Amino acid sequence: MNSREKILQDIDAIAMGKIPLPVFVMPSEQSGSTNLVSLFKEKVQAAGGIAHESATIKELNEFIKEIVDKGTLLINAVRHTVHYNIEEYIHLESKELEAVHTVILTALMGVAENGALWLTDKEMGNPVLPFICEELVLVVRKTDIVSNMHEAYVKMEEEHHSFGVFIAGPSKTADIEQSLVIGAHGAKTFHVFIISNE
Amino acid sequence: MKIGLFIPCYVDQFYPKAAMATLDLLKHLGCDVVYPMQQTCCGQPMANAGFSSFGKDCNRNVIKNFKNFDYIVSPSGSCVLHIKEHLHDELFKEEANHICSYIFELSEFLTDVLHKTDLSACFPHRVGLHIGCHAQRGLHISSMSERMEPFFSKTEQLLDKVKAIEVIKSKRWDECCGFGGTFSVAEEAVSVRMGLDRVEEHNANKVDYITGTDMSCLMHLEGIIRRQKHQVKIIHLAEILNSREA
Amino acid sequence: MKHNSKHHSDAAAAFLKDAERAKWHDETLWFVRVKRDQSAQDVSGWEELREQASQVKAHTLSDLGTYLKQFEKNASLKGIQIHWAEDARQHNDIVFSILNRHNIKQVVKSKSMLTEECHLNQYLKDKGVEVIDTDLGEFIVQLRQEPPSHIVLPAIHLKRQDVSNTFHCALQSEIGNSDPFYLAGYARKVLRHKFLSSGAAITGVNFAVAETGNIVVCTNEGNADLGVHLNKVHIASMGIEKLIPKTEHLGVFLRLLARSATGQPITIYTSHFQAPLPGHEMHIILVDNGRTKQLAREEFRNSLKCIRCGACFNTCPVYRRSGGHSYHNTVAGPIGSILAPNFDMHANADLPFASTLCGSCTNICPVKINIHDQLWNWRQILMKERYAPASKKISMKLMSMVLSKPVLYKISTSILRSILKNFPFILNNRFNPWFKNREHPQPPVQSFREWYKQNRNHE
Repeated sequence: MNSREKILQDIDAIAMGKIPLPVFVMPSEQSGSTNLVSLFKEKVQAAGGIAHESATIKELNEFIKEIVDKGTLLINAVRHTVHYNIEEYIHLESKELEAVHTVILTALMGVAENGALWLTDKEMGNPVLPFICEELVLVVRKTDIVSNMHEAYVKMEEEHHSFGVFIAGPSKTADIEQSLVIGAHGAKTFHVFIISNE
Repeated sequence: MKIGLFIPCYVDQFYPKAAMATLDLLKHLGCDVVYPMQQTCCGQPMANAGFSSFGKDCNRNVIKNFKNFDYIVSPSGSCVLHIKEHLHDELFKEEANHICSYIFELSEFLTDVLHKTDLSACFPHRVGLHIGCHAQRGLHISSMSERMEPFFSKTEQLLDKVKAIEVIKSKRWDECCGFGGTFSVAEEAVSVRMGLDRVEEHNANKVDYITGTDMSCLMHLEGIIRRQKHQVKIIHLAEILNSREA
Repeated sequence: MKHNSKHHSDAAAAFLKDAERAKWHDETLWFVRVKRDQSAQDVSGWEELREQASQVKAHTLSDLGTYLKQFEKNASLKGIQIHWAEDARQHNDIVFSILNRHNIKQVVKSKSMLTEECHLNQYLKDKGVEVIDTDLGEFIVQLRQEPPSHIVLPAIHLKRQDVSNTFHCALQSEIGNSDPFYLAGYARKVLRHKFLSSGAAITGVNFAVAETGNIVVCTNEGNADLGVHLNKVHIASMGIEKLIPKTEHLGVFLRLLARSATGQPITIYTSHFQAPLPGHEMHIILVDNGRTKQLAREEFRNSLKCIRCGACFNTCPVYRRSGGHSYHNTVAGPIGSILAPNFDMHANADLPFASTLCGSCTNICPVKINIHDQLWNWRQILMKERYAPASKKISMKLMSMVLSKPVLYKISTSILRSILKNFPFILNNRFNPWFKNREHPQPPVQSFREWYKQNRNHE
């Protein structure tokens, strides 16, 4: 008998009454009709991120130009913005992307209760990019901000990705005497552009 | 309504005033209270030490002494919880069930059965409240800090009506005192540390007394208080509620 | 990493000898508990959420075989390779065989209590494979060659000076510089190099979704993601109890996990590993290692609902004052004390007694495990199964006899009071643990019974 058979047999041998799966009830809206965007912004900032509320593509482009002027390596995967250049890097091995400073990506949605943004490897180009950079910039549409995680999973499309992630701020650790340090292994700075027009 | 008074063994032996106050308080409220003389121990110390199988005789004695009362009241959350959860007897199932359903800790008996909160008591002192874990989390005589629920406390409801009293809650108002039965000797270092921390918090509030539902907790705190030579005194809730000082 | 074999009470007493450090440990973890409370208050319907999570887990455990097969099928359809391991040894062998096939000699590992439980690091080291723990807390304890003391905050027992000394000795960081920002930054550089030079990534699994074959890993540091995406081989180790039925259930658990663990509304990264990229390999090892045995124990079955948040550690007044190492197991604290006896009753007979049964853990547990009830249940089993010293059994039998019979009760208690009053030296000495730091209660003139008999018995 192989391990699989042994484990399944051992489980089967246990006389357990089947407990029914509870019917899921979506919880009622949090504390009245809070403005989702301001709650989302508050959570992003509480986690050490910088939220640019009611941003426009024009403002985002200016932000991108400022980074380019600094001379650090930028990889931008957000279509219809300046310096869109992901195609130049998509063929590279992950380890070759070590030098990237700023990565700009589209997020498919934001979650107001915790400031997290959801994106998949399709938005990333290379899934290492959000983690290997020093500075991460995510761009989300205001209309794509949902209230809580239950709604997020409902909204998430059933496409087949290899990888998806909720990112809620710059990387951090408090493992040394509970002192919060922003910038563990992932990005040290984190910007969120909440785009209010198309 | 005939009430049987269940007095924990250590209260009987070392803190009779708490038992006397419970008796007198209930009588003052018009209850017909009897203390069955042949009662002994609820069996909790053995059961919590892993020897609940040795508790048959204690269980039998509890049933023998209390089966004929309408209610059983005890100035001890931990004894009441133990009896509610562990009183079984193969021969006297109905009697055991009756006792389990009708045994109450003092404060919950006053608020939930007698519906009396104002006891015309007067206790002009600063008092720190130590809520016993079994009373709080086991019998749910108050809400707990772990759960997201509206605050309530049967004990405080009663204390709030005591004239001239000043009840001060400590920062970690529902952290365990560290007694835990045999834990108090088997894990002496942690037990004492936990007790010291509770005493320190009450001392920081400069209270005259520390009170609570359970003499076991208070006995442990008193042991520490006296060794540390602090001035604060311990007093059972029943004694405060029974105080009629002018 | 080998744990010490000291009895919890002795290890705790040693921990408390450094009173200042013990107080700091207690206060620091209490602060994490407070943050949890504040975060839970933010969620309307927190208690309903706990109930949901508890029922979902209970349901899943009651049909675990079905869900395991469903998970395996759905994961395999996407090209994920599923392995089954009955015990720690098999798990470790499987990990090594994957690495060996690719001739990989260096791996990076993100936090996985299961790999700690299996003592994977030592096993791989013995086979010539270097494992680097990349979670900063795990990295620190790895350098110090000691086990983590907390499942979420592995280095919570250490002060910054300890970390500074360790980094200086092992990594040549600046001597005496104990600024956490400097130390974390130094570790970032060292570990970035390791990420880039490794051949595979090992991760744990927070949740495995049966309906999709996806796994979810939660970190704040981004180390799981860096490891996986910088390597072509990903090995994920998971206990079989990590399954949940559907994607929608992730909403429930993810709202509870980080809030319970650290007070954050969510971890910085909640990574959904769904399939290997082209040219990559993704392996998931489903590990039993005693879990089916615990599943068979009806009284302890729902300890397997645990989502490893650590909230019970933070709320436990005993854990905070004794430190994780005093539990001599990979998983310490209250949950550890109900899991460990299943592995080895003899070695872990002390743990269910390292508690006052205050019930704080049960009420903070996001999946409503009745921890304190299970601690009590283990006590009954352990004492019945001969893990009590004969002397304890005899004294308990004696005590129950004396305390149940009115005449014996009366005699023995008056003797006790008489000793306390007239011959205190019999009890007031170093052989009596109560007396070490506490006075005995003062014996009154009359017991209540005696007073009642004299004054009130006619009523």
